[in-house]
Amino acid sequence: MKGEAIYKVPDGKLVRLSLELESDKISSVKIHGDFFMHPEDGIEAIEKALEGAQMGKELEAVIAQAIEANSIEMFGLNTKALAQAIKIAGENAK
Amino acid sequence: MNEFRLLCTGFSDAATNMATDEAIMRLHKNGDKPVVRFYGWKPHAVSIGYFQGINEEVDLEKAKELDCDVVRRITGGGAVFHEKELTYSFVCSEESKLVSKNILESYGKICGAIVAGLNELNVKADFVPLNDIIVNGKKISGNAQTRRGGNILQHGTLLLEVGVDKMFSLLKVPDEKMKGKIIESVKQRVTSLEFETKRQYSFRDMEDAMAAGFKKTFGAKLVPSELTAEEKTLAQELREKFAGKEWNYLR
Repeated sequence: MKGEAIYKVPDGKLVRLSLELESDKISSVKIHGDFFMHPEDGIEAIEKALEGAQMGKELEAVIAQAIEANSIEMFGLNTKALAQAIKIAGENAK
Repeated sequence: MNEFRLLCTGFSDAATNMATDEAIMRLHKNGDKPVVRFYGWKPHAVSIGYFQGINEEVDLEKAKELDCDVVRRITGGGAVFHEKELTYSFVCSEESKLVSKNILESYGKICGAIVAGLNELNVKADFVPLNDIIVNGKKISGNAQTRRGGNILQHGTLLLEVGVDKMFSLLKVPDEKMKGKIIESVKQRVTSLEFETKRQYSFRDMEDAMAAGFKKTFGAKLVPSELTAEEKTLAQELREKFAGKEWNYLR
């Protein structure tokens, strides 16, 4: 199943997210948007970390861990908002 | 007094502009003079943020029809239509005492130079975190920063005139049904130097004012300089990347 979401981060930037699901596990995810992330290649680390993750509550922990492990700093985007965008894309998936 | 290199490289195509910024950044070493570069875009161009999808942001057919360059930046942030504006870039080492290691603070400091430059033109401006400069409550300048290889690159625009309708003939919006409303709202939220002052400026006028802004903000002497042979060579190499599909369609 494939799903997309366009999510405006509260007090932040716009995230466009597309994902592929196999039952309720993420097989791939692409995160686009006008946010800032340092270092920039942290985005691939987060996308990679989300592969295989279960939809639901553990998403925030998976994202937070990737951020921690890669010393990522984000502006206009945060862990909670990213998890929310994934949730919406999951709900839109068909 | 601190000395900065001042590069006025004039108008270039989008790939050359982005390649030049990256080349300056990559070759910069701790202890080198920080670099201030001013430039313009010929032909007019759209740049998209590093994390944006090119097809989601830009009407590529329209861009082709209007001979508009499209390029992905190495910095985050949003899509920008570059036409009647002055663009600057600033490069220094992350170890430089001039700019905070804290990213938010460093935006404030570097944007402070543009605010001071506007003040030189008797325009009152404010920095609004994260990355905007506003005049009379409207955005006149957008800025974006990256840190790579121990160096900081920040580049940004200063709008001389603003063409919102032309801009949105090239840029897509998240909800096309809302496009009219979005255009109206952007018209309310964006301004330009000519609109605010009701007078005209040459590119040189803007360069001079912004150079004065950097001088004031950093207590620096700006020494007119040229790209080095090394910078030119690397910029030519990197130009291939910025002109190519692999990079521009990366995300």
